[in-house]
Amino acid sequence: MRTKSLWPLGFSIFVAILWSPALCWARVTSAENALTKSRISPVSTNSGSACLVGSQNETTLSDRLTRRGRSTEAVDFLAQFQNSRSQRQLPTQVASVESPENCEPDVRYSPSVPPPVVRTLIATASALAPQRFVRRQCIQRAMMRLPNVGGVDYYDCETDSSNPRELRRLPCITTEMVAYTHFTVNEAINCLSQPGSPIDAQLLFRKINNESAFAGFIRNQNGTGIGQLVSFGAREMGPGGRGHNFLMERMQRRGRACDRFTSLASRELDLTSPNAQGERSVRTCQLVGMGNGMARNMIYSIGLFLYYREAMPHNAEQLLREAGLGDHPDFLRMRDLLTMVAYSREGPQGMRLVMRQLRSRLSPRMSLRAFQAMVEGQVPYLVETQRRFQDVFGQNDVDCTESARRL
Amino acid sequence: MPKILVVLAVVCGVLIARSASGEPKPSTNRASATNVSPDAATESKNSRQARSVVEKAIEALPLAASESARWQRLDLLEQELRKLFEAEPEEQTIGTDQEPSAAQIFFTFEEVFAATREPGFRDSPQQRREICEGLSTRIAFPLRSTRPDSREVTITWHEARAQQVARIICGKFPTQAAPKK
Repeated sequence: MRTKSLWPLGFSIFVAILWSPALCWARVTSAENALTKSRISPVSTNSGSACLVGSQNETTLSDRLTRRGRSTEAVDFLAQFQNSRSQRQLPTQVASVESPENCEPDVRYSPSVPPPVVRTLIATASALAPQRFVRRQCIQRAMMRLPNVGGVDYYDCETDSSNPRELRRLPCITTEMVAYTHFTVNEAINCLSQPGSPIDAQLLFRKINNESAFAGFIRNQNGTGIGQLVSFGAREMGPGGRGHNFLMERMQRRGRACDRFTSLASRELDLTSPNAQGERSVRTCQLVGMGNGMARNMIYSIGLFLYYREAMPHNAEQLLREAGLGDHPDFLRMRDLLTMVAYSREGPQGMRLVMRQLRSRLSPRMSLRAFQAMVEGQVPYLVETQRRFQDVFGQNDVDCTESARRL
Repeated sequence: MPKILVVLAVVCGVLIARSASGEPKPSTNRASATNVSPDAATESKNSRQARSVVEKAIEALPLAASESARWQRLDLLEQELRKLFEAEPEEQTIGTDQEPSAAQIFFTFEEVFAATREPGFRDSPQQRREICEGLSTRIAFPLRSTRPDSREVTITWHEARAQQVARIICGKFPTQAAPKK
């Protein structure tokens, strides 16, 4: 009798799982179409590598990536890239398309499955699900919008202790630069993700696309490098900062996966002498350039995001639990969404303000979409992030994640 | 026809009498007509009081006779701001840059209050200097707009005032000019 009563439930889960590849296939096709629609015509340079975008005469940055045999401490992350398979597996066709593989069963909105079962399924799935990574093609597409990003300066750094040299034009962006960026971003994701505490690669793509269009060599008044870190954020994650111990503990737990970042993340930050207002900044080349700068920037940026999400006083996780949303089936996504609020005008305390403002309207039964709409209504940064994504892909909801790193 | 006129006259008479006696018309919502709900009134009171408390503290802190008197004044500011923030209706938490809510003011000043509770801050000038370094940036974090290509950096009322208080308690402490009211 008991077995019979569970039969419809089992059947509906089975159907949902059976259907999800078909839904996934549809999503994959749409994503592929979106990516193939604008095939990029490479521009040849004198040195032989092709400029996807940028000045053909400004090849300082791309040359740094192709010059081999430089494995001094200052450029050690770059040397690791040069020795990795990533460098040897550059796509032969510019903007070639690989199939996205986001084919996870989606049973959340199947009306016949009781919520407690869904909750258990989702919790188990997220604990067991392998970490996903950012697709190279998406990074390339994001970098293609660099000519339209105004108000930024471009820098070249020989090492992370040298003085930055300003470049007058948008440098030539090559497939090697895309590959190095892809390598750095996904190595950082791999280092900092943990079972049960994943990093949403799609959200990270959207965020970095909004912040810097994946250009690890830019700086403006709002921030520096690929994650547009400000000195405050870098110092929070650097030695002596409030988030440093959290970052190092997390890295230690991942062991060898973080080997490439350990010395970078634990090295003392070199600060400028105080300016007229007495403020000291982190020297630019530690966060900028085709080498350690980009790697440090990435590990600190993701680390800061996780610190706001899980560790700082009044972090996103804690605030959601206090609001009774701790058992929500979409808790992980809500947590990431709320963490994004920390990058808005009010800073990390913006998360507290938004949650307090919305408290009376929040309910454990609300949908993720309703939660998202409420938060977006309060925080222009989230809307801006979406708009930048549309600048790259139009109205298509492209999946920019892949299941395994192709390194 | 005369009957209709009589009915109309009676209705008009009743309406005129009711409006003369000050009784609200059934279809009119007083709150929306004046655009001030009871909650909004409370919010504006809390927010206004919080701003006034801060302004008074900024005047009083430099005049404190001793360091201990200054810390007492600062502790009092924290208590007052906390009380106003806690009494503020939750749905009125987010104000504007120039008219922030009590919650916004309190959260921003928390950075200053927390710094003064760090070990050694109140006793050792050396420790204080170290803690104060970077405090200005922390108060006004993030000094960045939502647009990566925007160079315009604005500072809010509460950030400017928190920096002012930090400058007073830290000694020679950097601050940006407070925006004019």
